[in-house]
Formats: sequence, C-alpha cells, structure tokens
Amino acid sequence: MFDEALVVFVRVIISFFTLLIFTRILGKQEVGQLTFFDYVNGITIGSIAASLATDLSSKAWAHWVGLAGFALFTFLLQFITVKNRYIGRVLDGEPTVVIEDGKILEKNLVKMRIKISELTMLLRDRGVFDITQVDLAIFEINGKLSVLQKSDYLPVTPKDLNIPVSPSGLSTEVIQDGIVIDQNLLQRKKDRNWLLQQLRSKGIDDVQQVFYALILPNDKLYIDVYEDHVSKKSDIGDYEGPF
Amino acid sequence: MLVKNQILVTMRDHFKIVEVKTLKKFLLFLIPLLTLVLFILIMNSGSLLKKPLGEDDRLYETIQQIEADVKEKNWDKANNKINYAETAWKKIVRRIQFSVEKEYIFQINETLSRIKGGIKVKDDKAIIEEIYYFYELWDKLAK
Repeated sequence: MFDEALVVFVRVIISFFTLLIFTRILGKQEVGQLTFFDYVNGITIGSIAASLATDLSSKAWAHWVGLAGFALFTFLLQFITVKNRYIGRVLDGEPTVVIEDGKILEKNLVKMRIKISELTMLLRDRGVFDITQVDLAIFEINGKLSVLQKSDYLPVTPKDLNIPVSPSGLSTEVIQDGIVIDQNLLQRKKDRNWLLQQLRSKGIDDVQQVFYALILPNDKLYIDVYEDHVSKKSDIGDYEGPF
Repeated sequence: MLVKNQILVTMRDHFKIVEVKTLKKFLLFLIPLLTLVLFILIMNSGSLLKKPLGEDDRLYETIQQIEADVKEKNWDKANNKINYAETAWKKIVRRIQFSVEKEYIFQINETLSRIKGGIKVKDDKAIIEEIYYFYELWDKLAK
C-alpha cells in the first residue's frame, strides 16, 4: 500500500542528487553568489528542490521540470553574459563609483539606493574610518564595497623599504594522515628518500607518526605529528562541563 | 634488447595511465547522465506501471466487469470482484506511488470503498456513479 515515508525517501534521493549534479554543472558562481540575481535564483532552486522532496500533492516530475528549467536558464544566462559583454552589463549591472577623491557622489548613491549610513558602515567594515583617506570607493555588483585608499594612507610594503624577502608561493601537501602523496612530492622535484631524511632529522622514524606535512615555498618542510606534546593548553571555554 | 624491453614497458605504462584517465573522464560524464536518466524514468513510470503486469492486478478490467455484473444484478459475482479489485489496487499502488500524486491514490481508495459499500446494499445507481468516477480518475492517473 501507499507508504508516505518511503515515497519521501525516494524523492529525497532524486532531489538531492539532481541538485548536486545541477549545481556542479552551474559551477562555482552559484556558490559565490556573485550577483543579487544569482542569490535569489539559488534560493528559488533550493526551494523547488525541497518541494520536489516533500510535496506529495503533486507529481515529482512537475517539480523536477521546474528545477531543470531554472538550472537550464541559469546556465544559458551564464553562457550569454560571458559571450556578450553588452547583455552581461544589462543583466548583471555595472559597478558604481560612490566616492572619488574623498568626495561622496550623492547622485550615484541615490541611483544605487544606498543610505549614507550604509556607506559609512561598509567603509568601516573595510577598515576605513576617515572618509578623506579614500581615493576611490566602488560599489560592486555583488553588494560589496571596494575601497582604494590614498597613497599616503596605504601600508608600507617591504618593496618600499627595499627589504629583501623570501619568495612567496604555494605550499605543497606531501603527507596526510600518515600517507605520503607521491604525486605532490614529484611536483616539487623531491622523492621519498628526501622526505624520510627530513623526517629523521626531526627525530621521526615512521611516516605513520605524521598527521600532516607540507613543503613550504622556501623548500622547508612543515611537519605536524599526531602526538602534540603541548604543555599548556589554552582554554577558551566559559562554562564548566561536562557537556 | 634490454633497452628495447624497457622502452616497451614504459610505453605500455604510459598507455595504461592515459587509458585510466580517459575512462575516469568518461565515467565522470556517464554516471551523472545515467543518474538523471534513471530519475526521469522513475518519475514517469506511472503510466506504464499502472497497466497490468500479471494475473492479479487487472484492476480496470475488473471494474468494467463489475459494471456489467451490477447492470445484470449479479451481486455475488460483483462482490467477489470488488475484493479482487481492492487487492489488485494495493499491488498497483506499490509500484506507482513514486510517480503519481498522493491525492489520486486516496481518491481511488475511496471510490473502491464506495463501490464495495454499494454492492453490500445493492445500490446499483450509486455504484454506477462511482464506477464512472473511477474511470475518470484512472484515466487521469499518472498523466
């Protein structure tokens, strides 16, 4: 006979994996919620997926077509906005300058419908408390404010002071959970012998003792072993347990 | 000879890696596609699965026979057939429940119960009304 829980379970499987496949096709843009439209669209797609799973008063197929339709149009729009700059601008909008050379551009604020209190909040959020320090502030299409401070207020860099620095770059994972990642070792032109030698020099005889190891950009090895030997543990709890 | 063998082994390994990578890429495309196809089939299987697949799930046919029996006042025959129809419906529901609306299942349940009640009190008018309502529901089921 009709088993409501079983039907919901099967529909959850359909809804969950369809959503997974569709969002994977739509890519990272949906996750980053690039524009307001993407944000609202994401919520709508999620809502349809929820109905697909639990609304038994209508056929799963009807909801699925809705879900597929939203995913298809999102994909088409993404494609069109990448291929055609003009349509992209029309659909996504353009970034708007709201402060230039320390002066607030009121007309643009009104156009974007942002209150002055919101603007100052966004500035403070970016670490700017004095509006005269701002050279340029741009309201981006994802609702965030990009701020360029005047050169006098920008932090000093090692280059300004002619200080030699070690090269920056990416660290490469070489051990994870006691397992050596040979592919990454090869990428950094190292081998297992080198790795074991490095471990031995730190008093570690077995790779199994290592939880995580990285080759840093300066070719040095960072090692974290399972046994931490921390003498004093910081306690940030504010309530005596047990929980 | 040794060098030649080594080259052959290296080439074989190289092709093996390429083969595995192509297979992985193919599966990455094929598995989601097959999953979606399977889901679509499940969601649209109702119109096919409501049709009889054996000897004990001939619901529509049985209701038609009940209609004939009721018109001829063969109440015993009609009574046997409505019991068969209820069992047949339970069997059909098990396979169509994933692709039809819950309301349709409940409505057909109710209609079958009313037909059964009608046969008990030998109310042919009410039964015929219900039977035609059943035909309509059956026609719309999984469409």
